[in-house]
Amino acid sequence: MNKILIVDDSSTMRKIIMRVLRQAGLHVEEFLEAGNGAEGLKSLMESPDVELVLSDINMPQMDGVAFVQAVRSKLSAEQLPMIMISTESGNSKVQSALDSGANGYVSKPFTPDTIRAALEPYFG
Amino acid sequence: MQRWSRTLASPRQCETGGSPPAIPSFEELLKALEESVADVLNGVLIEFESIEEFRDSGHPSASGDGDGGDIGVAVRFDGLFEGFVALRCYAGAAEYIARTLLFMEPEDEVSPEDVEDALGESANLVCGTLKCRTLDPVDTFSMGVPERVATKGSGGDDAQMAFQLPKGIMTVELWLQDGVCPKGESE
Repeated sequence: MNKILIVDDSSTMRKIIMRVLRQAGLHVEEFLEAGNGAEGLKSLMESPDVELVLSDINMPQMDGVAFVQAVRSKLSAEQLPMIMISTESGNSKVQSALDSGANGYVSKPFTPDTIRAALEPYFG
Repeated sequence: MQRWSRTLASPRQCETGGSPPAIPSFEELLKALEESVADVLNGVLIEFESIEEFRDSGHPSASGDGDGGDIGVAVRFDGLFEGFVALRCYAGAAEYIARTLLFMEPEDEVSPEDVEDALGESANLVCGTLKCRTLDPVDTFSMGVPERVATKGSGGDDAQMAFQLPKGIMTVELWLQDGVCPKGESE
């Protein structure tokens, strides 16, 4: 995969996600990073060739649910897959994100195996 | 000035209008915290063992001599309650967490920033998991960014639970603002 956008307000978590993808054997040419949904939207406007978005749910300014809603007003789930990554497992916000058009959900913390299982389908 | 305590205000002290959210007891919160820590450690494949009755274990960090370890971080939260979760670690345990959580290779050098970042993210994960378990029944929860907290001279005796990791001990504390009531209610 050429380009993935990682949206998380924790720079450490963004670093962890990049490393776990490598450990999971999921090759990515370039990572883009954003600290919240608003920054994520800006990144997508500047880089329309992003192929997959991994996003946290709880973030300042624009959370993951609002981010998914904003993206889905322009791009379908087939055009740009979005996977939520959060500790919110079982929470109403996860359901809201899925109802808004997120393609899937991965619970934090995660292992290379769980990441591989969730993301492999998008790596063709 | 904020006052922090280790117990909850009785719900009876709150003049509640309407139906207040279910309020867990402090013991229930501690149990949920212990389960949250276990979830996070299991989730990142860190082997651990809970140290039962830590305060009576005779471990130096439980002796009340004020030695809380080598590094400590805390994450503040605000929702049904206002408070913070603190993790304190000895250097070996902190480096082990950093290596594991950051997926570092054996030949990678662990920097002090890596250690602080990893422990901070661990506190984030624990607090986030605790939130899902018990702290957010009214969906108003917010969390701060991890902050460095004092360790030596600040009280290993404050630890409510401790976990033996492969390279040392990690202790965990839960503090709540004194006299706290459910949000939207007045004392």
